[in-house]
Amino acid sequence: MTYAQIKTRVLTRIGADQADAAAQADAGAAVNLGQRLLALLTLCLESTRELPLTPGAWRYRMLREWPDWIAPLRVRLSTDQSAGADSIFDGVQADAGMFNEETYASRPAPARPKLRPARLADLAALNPAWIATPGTPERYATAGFDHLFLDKQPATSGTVLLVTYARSPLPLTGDGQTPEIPAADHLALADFATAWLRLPEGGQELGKAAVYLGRFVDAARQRAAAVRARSIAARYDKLPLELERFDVSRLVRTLARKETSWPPTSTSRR
Amino acid sequence: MAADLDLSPLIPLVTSALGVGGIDELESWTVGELYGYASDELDRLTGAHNVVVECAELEVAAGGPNVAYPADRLGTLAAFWTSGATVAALRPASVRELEAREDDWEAAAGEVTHYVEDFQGADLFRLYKQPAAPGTATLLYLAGAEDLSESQTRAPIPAPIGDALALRMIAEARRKDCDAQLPEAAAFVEQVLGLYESALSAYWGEGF
Repeated sequence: MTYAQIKTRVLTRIGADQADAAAQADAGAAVNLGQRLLALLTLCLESTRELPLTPGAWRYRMLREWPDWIAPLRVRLSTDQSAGADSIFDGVQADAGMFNEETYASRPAPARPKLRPARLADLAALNPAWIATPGTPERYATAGFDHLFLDKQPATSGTVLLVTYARSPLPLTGDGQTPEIPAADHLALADFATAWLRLPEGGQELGKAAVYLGRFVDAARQRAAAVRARSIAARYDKLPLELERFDVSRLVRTLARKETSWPPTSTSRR
Repeated sequence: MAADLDLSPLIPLVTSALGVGGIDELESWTVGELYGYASDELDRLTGAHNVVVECAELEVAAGGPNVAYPADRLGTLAAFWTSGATVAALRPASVRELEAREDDWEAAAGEVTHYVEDFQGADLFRLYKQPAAPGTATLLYLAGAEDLSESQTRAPIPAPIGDALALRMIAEARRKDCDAQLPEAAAFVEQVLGLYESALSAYWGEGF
């Protein structure tokens, strides 16, 4: 579905004038909000980009490198100067080797070895002087929204990391654009936006729209499960959250009954 | 910081959800009030999920073991000592542990190996042992985010978390005791915020 088709679907559902520019803008903002939320919940959008390392630098602010950064999925050393194009959903990258794999018989040293994820305490335990240890990085750690630390720092320029990371979607602006999230989830954006646009009305209208929010969460749950399975197979370092623990039925029922407490305190209220 | 997320483009999303055409039509709220709600939420998130991390390099004179924390510090992640060619990760220790280790630990001078956070109030930490030569204490710490306002609309957060702040503006505005109060709308937004909260806990931790 295109951006325009999704907006049309939303405005039709709520009975708004398709020619109303303000309604179009509101629907567009809601669709973009839904897409960013779905990408956060499912980590379904990822990019692989090159990060040239600065000699001696032991920490990097990833939001300053790439503003669409959410979380690292895999960090590798790169010797492939042609790499760096965005990866695609379900793209297969089977060449991610690990350190010491060359010790197995007839197994060549990986061209792009994976850096192992670690905690800051692990890095300090392995090497108390890790923030000033020249060498080729073998482990990385993270902290906060965007800090990435390397256990060793190259002494000269030229070392490049290939960082695969979960990212936020590009904003939808043109009517002909297609959302970046998988096509199967485009209708979920219409569901989210439909519920969202009932927000100013409140009351019964908002209560009736709760089912759309439930459908959105259900779609996110299914997508997160698919991404999680794929991420485990790809040995990614970060997995989508387990939305199975989020009780959608309770959410919908709560909104329909116009309860105002969060979290809902009982499942027996019917 | 130019690379930080600018929240001002989210204001139309907020005003639209509040049922007004723009900030000029706000009657029950002010723009500053909305940013205040977002700022409170950002404060809560930074404390609850360890999301804003900063690094400070603090110069320390020889024999001067007490070091003042940066003003925006909430908690310490790691500390390092650099003096000449010496670089070392410092281990956390309590006064009780050091007293058990050495009777006159406060006067001990030599290689810096530990840092102590419960020595004298909450504004400084102490190095053990006292450094014999000047050096640099590198502190990796959890920081509080700068307050948001009409004139300070940027925050060091990913784009989806900016949305969470916008949603908090809407929820608090609709909960406010005024003619435009709409508790069910506030409850709806809280439900969606629950999704963001789940993501924050899953990806960035539960806080300290």
